[in-house]
Parts: sequence; C-alpha cells; structure tokens
Amino acid sequence: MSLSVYERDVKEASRKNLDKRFPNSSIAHAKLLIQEIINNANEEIWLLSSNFNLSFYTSIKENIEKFLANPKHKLNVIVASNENSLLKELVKNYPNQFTIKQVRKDQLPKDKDSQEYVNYIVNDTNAYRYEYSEKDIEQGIVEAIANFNSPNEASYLKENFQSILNMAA
Amino acid sequence: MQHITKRSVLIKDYPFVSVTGIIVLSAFLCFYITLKTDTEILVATQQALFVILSAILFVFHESIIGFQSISKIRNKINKLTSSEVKNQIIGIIGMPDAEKDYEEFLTTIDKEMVRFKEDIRKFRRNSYILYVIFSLLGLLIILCSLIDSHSSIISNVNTQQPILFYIKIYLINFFLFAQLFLIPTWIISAFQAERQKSAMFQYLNAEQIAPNVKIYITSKRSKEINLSIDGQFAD
Repeated sequence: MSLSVYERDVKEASRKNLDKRFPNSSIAHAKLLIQEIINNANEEIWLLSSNFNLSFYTSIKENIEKFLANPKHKLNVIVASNENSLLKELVKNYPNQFTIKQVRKDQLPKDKDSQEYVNYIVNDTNAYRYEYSEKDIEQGIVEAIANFNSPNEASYLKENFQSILNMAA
Repeated sequence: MQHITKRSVLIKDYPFVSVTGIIVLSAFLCFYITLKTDTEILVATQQALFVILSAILFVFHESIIGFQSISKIRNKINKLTSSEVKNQIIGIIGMPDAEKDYEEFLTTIDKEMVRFKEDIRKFRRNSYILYVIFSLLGLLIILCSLIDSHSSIISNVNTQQPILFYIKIYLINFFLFAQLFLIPTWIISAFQAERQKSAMFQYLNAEQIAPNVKIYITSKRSKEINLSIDGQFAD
C-alpha cells in the first residue's frame, strides 16, 4: 500500500532527524507520530498525558514494549489518573524502566492559547509531539504539532516535565 | 468548515424555542380569531394542507438533502485529494513544503463531513416527526369536529351552550393554527438546510478553500509551545 505524502515525510523526518514541523489533526496520524518518536528515541522518553487513553496506547503497546525490551531504555510518564490496566501492566513488567507519577489534574500544564490541558511526548533525540487541544476529539480531530529535531522545544518540554515532578514531589 | 456544520441552527433544528413559539402563538390567536368549524370544510382543509405539506416534504427533501446532494459533496471532497486540485490549491497558497500540511488539513474536512451527514440525518428525522405531528393534529381536528357538543350535561348558564362546545371550538382553532404555522416553519427550516448545503459546496471550491488551508498551515507553523506551571504562565 503506497504511503501518503504525510506518512512518507514523517518517516523520512524521523529517519534523518529532520527539523521540520508537522501539523497533526487526525488521530491516525497522531498514532504514526508517536510510534516514530518512540522508535526514534535513543534511551529515554518523557510522556505527559491527562488520562493515558487505554484504547489509543494499547494500539501502540507493541512499540512501547519493543522500546522497553532494552534494559537501558526508560519511559517516564506523568498522568492525572493511573486507573488503567495498561499502565499497571507496564509498571509490573518493567518496574525499573517504566516510571509513573500520578498528579492532580490541576497540576497538569495548560496551553496558553487553548487554555486546555495538554498532552505531550518527547524523546532524547529532540523529537516531540505536543497536543494542545482535544475539544473536538469526539469528532476525531485533535490540535497538535510535532517535530523530529527541535532542541529548543524538546528542552522546554523536558524542563516542564521535571517542574511538574518537582511540584508534585 | 466547522462554521458551516455548526450543530444548531435556529428553526432548522426545531429547537425548543421554535416549537414553543408555535404553541404559544396558536394558543394566543385562538382567543381572538375563530376559524370556520363546519366539519365538511374542516375535512377538506385538512386534506388540502396535508397534500401541500406532503408535496413540500417529499419533493424538496430529496433536492435539498437527498442522496444526490450528499454524493455531490462527497465527490467534491474526494476531488480535493486529486493531484490536479491539490497542486492548484498549493499553487494558490504559495507556501513551501505545503503538501504534507495540506493532507493533514483534509483530515479535518473528512471529520466535518461525518458531522454534516449526522446533521442531515437529524434534519430528515425531525422533518418526518413534523409530518407525523401534522397528521396527528389533522386527525384531532376531525375527531373534535365530530364530537356533538350539545349532548354535554355541563351547560353555560348564560348562553345555554355546553362548556364542551367552547373547549371544542378552542381546540379545533388551536390545532388548525398550529398546523398553519408548522408549514412555514418547515419551509424556513428547508431554506436554512439549503443554505447550509450551498455553503458547503462553495467552501469546497479550490479558490474558496485555499485561504482556509493557508490559515491552517500558518497557525500550525507559527504555534508556540507555552505551558503553565502550577496554573501560572511565564511572561
């Protein structure tokens, strides 16, 4: 099956670590971007999600497990709710690599423009996906951006992640 | 496209306001205007109104929001993915490396199409409900007209007319006014649905849609990541 231009460009940017911004409005492409960010990581990933949607993350469970199969790799997660069978399974199977911090919803960061709680994933090769609005998610539309090599933005997200951990400690 | 497929349009979606308006106006007018209540005339009027609304509903339904219209809109959306139209739109917006962004923009239209079809389904359902209500009102009018109000044991002392007579007249008038108001309500609703459909067709033209694509791409490319910490944004 031939790839669309979008899919082709995402895979190329991931492979070559290109500094190129991708818009993201569809959930199918959100999955593609997150899979590539996980596959693209060297050793560490940081993920912030308000609810860690079970259905969505189960669809990329294989990518997560493949990443964590290397004992040096780490996946750090901040969530507002950890009542989730997938999270529990990952914590149980990868206790030293999969770390999870549960915080109150109001401790999660909001985007300045949308004023909504955000979700993001960032890895140690400066790749990220930043979702700043999901008000139309019932219609399958999200508002997100991604890049496979943006040091400033990746650094900003990692600092934000650490700030939330410090605040919630 | 969301501004076209917005969920609620006054009158078209028969919200509480328009239905209440019909009921209140009909109830109010009955006190001041009495319509002819001869049974034969009522039955003839009912049949005429019924045929008029049936014609409007079934003949214009198909042209406004029928299968052909949906099919045409779907074809227009599919054309947006063709190389010819894509290159035309990308040429108009004149931004580098826009092809991937344009593809992502199209995913939003696809979702809006799903919403539009749901909207149409609701409009059709509401129209048929209106049709049923209209028929029931007609039936009630005929039934009321057949009741012999003079056989009531409750009489009005002054006029010697039974109370039931006045209730019957009021109800017949009320149902008739409600029917009469339902027809223009549906016509306005149909015009609004037609306008919505036309706006969709317009939007899906390359020249119309190109500026929206440009806005989408620009907003995504210029989006800054700016997060709050503990509810506060950095200056």
